[in-house]
Amino acid sequence: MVIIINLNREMTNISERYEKLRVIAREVTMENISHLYQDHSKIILTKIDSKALQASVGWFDIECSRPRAEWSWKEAARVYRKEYTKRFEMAIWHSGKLCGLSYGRPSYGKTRLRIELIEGAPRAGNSLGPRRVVPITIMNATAYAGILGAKELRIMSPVPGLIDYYESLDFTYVETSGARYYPNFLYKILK
Amino acid sequence: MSEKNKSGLISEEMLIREKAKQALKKNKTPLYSAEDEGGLMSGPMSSEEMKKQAKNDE
Repeated sequence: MVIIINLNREMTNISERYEKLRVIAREVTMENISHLYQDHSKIILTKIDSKALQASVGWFDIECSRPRAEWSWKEAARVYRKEYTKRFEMAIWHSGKLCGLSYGRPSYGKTRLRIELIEGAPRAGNSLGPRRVVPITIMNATAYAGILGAKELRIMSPVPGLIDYYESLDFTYVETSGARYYPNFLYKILK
Repeated sequence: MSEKNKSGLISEEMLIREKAKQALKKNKTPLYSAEDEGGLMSGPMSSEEMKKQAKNDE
């Protein structure tokens, strides 16, 4: 019984520690953004909390030219919160509206950080503008990778048709070897 | 918490912040991507694949 209580306490401490690291990564990213975008005071970065999950449901009411994923962010949150205390996560808000969401996780040895899910609000409902969702996600992931000591950033399962798009953001594309559950990805070596 | 522990925690946090700052300083990201419509940008389409990807160890 004592062992279980101690393990639970230890897990809570680890969970709190990584939550704190993500907060620091977001704060440093916000500071960075304040030098880059004129409307920075309208941009807020948060964790994916219940407010963000609720707001993401509203994206389905906005027309989008890109196909929709079958899964919901509530579903993704259940998986990542349960499985990965060291996860990467971020919600991007602009003028009080949810504009982007992302989840990822470090590799076992924390040498790489994988961004596994990125979605932006459709253009009509995106006051930040879809063109800033991925760059801000990459900035925050870079800051978190720096904290963890990761030397490579990966974007997993890029949506078909967006390879050139990610390559223009300094990533290199690697096509899957065909092995089961090993998707296509793009990578960038961090200095 | 003792003053010594407090100052230890503060200096650790400063060190962590500096790591994040240095990572951003050394690795610049373009401010804008190419023209975009929003929607899913990375991740599998199916719910099953999303869960498999999330649970797949490297």
